[in-house]
Amino acid sequence: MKKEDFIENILNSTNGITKVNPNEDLLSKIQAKLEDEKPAESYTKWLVAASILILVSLNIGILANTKQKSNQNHELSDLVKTTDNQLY
Amino acid sequence: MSKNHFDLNKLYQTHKVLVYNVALNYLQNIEDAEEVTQDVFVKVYQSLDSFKEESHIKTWIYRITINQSLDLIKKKSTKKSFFSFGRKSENEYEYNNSSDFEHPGILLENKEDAKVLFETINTLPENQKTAFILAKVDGLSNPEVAEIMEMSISAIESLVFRAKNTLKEKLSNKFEEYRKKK
Repeated sequence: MKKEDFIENILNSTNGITKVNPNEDLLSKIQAKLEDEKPAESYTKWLVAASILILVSLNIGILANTKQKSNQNHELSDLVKTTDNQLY
Repeated sequence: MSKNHFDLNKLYQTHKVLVYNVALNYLQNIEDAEEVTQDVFVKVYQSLDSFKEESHIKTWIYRITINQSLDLIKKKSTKKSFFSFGRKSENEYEYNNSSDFEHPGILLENKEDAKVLFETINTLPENQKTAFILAKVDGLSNPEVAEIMEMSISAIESLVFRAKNTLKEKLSNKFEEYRKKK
C-alpha cells in the first residue's frame, strides 16, 4: 500500500459515522444525581444559617455581660469618688 | 431562563445524542462518555437560571460538554502523571484511553483505521483536537465550530488545517512502522 493511500484511508475512516444513543438508564442516573445534591444543598444552607444565629446570640450575650460588668465598675468608682480617702 | 421553561426530561431527550457523541469522540471510552453526559446534564440543569441566552442553548451545551470532557482528561492525566516519571507527551494531556477503543458508530470496514485515527487525534494540541473533532468527526460547519470555540472562522480554518497536517505527519511515521512490521 502507498503511504498516501494509508494516510487518506485513516483520515477518511470517520466518513459515514453514525450517531450513537446513550444507555437508556442514563436519565434516571442524572435524576438521582440531582436528587442527591438537593438535600445536601438545603442542609448546608440551614447549617450556615444556624451558625450565624449562634454567633449573633453569642455576641449579644457577651456584649450584654460586658455592659453589666462595666456598670458595676462605674458604681464602685462612683463610691470611691464620693469618699474623700480619709482614714478615721 | 428559568427551570420552569425546561423540564429535565425534555432537555435530555433533545440533547442526549449531541452530548454523548461529543463526549465519546473526545474520550473514546463508553464509561467516561456516560459519566460526562451525566455531569453535563446536572450542570446544565443547575445552571439554567444563569443561562443568559446570549448564545443558542445548543452552543452552550456543546461548550459545557467539551469543558467537562477536558476536565475529565486532565483529572485522569494528573492521577497518572503523579506516579509516572520520564518524558511527557507533546500534548501534556494526551489521553491514552483509546488504545482498544472501537467507536460504535464507525462503519465495520473502517474500524481498524478509525482506531489509528483516534489514537493519533489524542496526540494533537487541545485546540486542534477540539476543532478537528467538531469539524471532521462531528460534522459541524466552520461557523458553528467558531461559535462554540468563541473564535473567528479563519482561526478555525487554520486550526483544522494545522490539525490535518499534524495528523498526516504522525500517520506518515506510523506508516513507516507499519511497513517495517510487514
